[in-house]
Amino acid sequence: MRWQKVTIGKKIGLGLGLTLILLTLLGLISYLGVGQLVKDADQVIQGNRLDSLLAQKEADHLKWADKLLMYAASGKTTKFDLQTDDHLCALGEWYYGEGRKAAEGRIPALAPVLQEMEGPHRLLHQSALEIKKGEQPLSIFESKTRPNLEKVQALLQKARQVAKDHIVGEDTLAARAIDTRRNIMVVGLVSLVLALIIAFFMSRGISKALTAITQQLEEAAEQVASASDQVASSSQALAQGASEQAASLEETSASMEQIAATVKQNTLNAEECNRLVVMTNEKTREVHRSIRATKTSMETIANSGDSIKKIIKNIDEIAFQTNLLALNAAVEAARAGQAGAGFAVVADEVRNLAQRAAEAAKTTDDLIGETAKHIEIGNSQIQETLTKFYDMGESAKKVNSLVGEIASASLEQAKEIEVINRATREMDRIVQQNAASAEESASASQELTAQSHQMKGIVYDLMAMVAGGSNGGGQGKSGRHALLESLPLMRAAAGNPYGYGRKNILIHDSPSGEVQPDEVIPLEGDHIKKV
Amino acid sequence: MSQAARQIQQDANTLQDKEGKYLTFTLAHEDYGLEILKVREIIGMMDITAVPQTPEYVKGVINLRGRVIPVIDLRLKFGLEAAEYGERTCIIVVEVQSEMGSVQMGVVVDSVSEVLNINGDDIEPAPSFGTRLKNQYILGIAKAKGTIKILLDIDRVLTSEEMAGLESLGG
Repeated sequence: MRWQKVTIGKKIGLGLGLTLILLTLLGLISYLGVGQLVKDADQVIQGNRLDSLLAQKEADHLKWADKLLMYAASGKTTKFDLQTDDHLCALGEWYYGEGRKAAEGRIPALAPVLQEMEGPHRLLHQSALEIKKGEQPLSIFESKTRPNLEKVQALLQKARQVAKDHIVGEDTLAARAIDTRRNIMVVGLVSLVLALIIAFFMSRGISKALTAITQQLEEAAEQVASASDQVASSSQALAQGASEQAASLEETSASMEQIAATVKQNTLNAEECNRLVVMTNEKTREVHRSIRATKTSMETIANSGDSIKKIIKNIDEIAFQTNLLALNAAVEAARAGQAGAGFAVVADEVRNLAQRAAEAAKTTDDLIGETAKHIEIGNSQIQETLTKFYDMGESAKKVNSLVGEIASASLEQAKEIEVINRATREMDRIVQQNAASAEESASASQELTAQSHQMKGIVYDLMAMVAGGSNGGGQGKSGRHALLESLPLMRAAAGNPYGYGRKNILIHDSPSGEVQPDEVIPLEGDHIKKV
Repeated sequence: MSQAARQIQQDANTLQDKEGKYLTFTLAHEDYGLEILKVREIIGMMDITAVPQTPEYVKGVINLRGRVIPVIDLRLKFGLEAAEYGERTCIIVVEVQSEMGSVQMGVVVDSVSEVLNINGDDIEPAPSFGTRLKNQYILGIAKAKGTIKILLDIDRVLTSEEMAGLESLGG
């Protein structure tokens, strides 16, 4: 694990831990040293106490020997009040009590010396009894008491020396105290140096990390600022788009109304058309009836023509017969010669009349034939007309149904247009919402810009804290100004009539009135309401 | 005056003799003429009683007011196409001079037209060719009203040998 990647908490913990360990070490060393000193002091005290105790016992025995000598010298006249039991004297009580065991426990080397002391001490006290009972006390004293006393005295001396040798002395104590003081001082100095080094590395590591983080934070703040700028412009564009949408929707709505009117007119027209078609149908039927009547009339005429033809034929027949008669008369007249000349003229006239009658009959017949032909043509034409009328009726029916379809389609269209109108209203509502959202978004982005500025300020503060001194602060200030230059929206927002995020914007020198509010938020309130 | 001129004069005189009234009739779209004095009567078409053992152009006999008269079809006689008898079909009763005296006979024609007075100037001799009829039947060619009328010598038409038997029918 690299040092840079270690968390600050760990770094601090490690530094403090090391320092604490050093402190603990120092304290432990001090405690141990002082404890040793205390122990040594105790031993010194104990040694002194034992030494004085042994000295006391020596003095007591010297005093006891002195008294015994005086008793012996006096010839046993003085009262005998000396202790004769070696167990009950002051030394004996200590020797056979807890005092000796404690001394031996503390200084084991004392045991053989004290062991050696038992015999002479007993003999010493027994010598006193011998003196009391003996005849020659002085000689006993000289032969028995004195050597034993000297032995006990020497042994006590020896014990005292042994104790002195084995128990720390005051000089040693002082030397040890000095050693301890030196040790503590050295360890403390080393600890201090180590702690200083740790503190240095720790602070350097933390400040490095913080510097890196603050730099990143600064960058992030700048990015946030530019992003919020973008968001602001985007939401402006969005607002503009929403307004255009609203205008388009208005146009659409107007167009839809026109279409609805047209469709309504269409429906009315279709109904009128339907009525007219029905009327036309009625008229067509009437015409059909008239044509049928005409046909019947023409058939009657044709029949009459046939009758006339018969009559004409009769007339023609008569004319022919008359002609024959006239010719015969002419023949007879010719036979009669000159006498029949006048008759011949009459016959000729008659024949002429007959011929004229025949011609008239023929003409009439032709006419009748022509009439019949025309009637036939007329009949076929009427038939054709009837067929066409039938077709027309069919067409009228089709037109009727088509017009009906148009009418129903128009109704359907009207319904659909109503649906479209509803959709348009919904769209309008959504567009208004969008516009409002865009405005909110713009204000939020301004807020964001402000927040990013605040963040930048905090980052500069942090940088100042980390880097220290006026250097960071100065940079921060210049950075702020640079940011201001790059954020025209913020200046514009200063003139924002809605006052979105006004109190949060950390700009005081933005020239208001430079940008019209409408340019920032292009939506007019009444315009939105109108749509 | 030369010989030729004299001949023409003579011919003209002959034709001048033929001036007079003619009964005109049509036969197969052509106009013919008959001397009116040869005609006894004109009658409309009537029932003809067919007579066996006669030539094809002999249609039969008719009873005309008690007299039996033989009838011939002039179309067939002239070798023309036979035609259906119609309303205008007529029988012209003519008086033919034969060796056995005057005989009445019926001639079926398509139709009778009129009695025409033809001037001699308008009559020309029959051409030697160009007509289906034998020249001997034709008196002349008359020009009248912008048309040509063939003037028939009905005596010659009906006095061939074939007619001999018929005369007995008319008896």
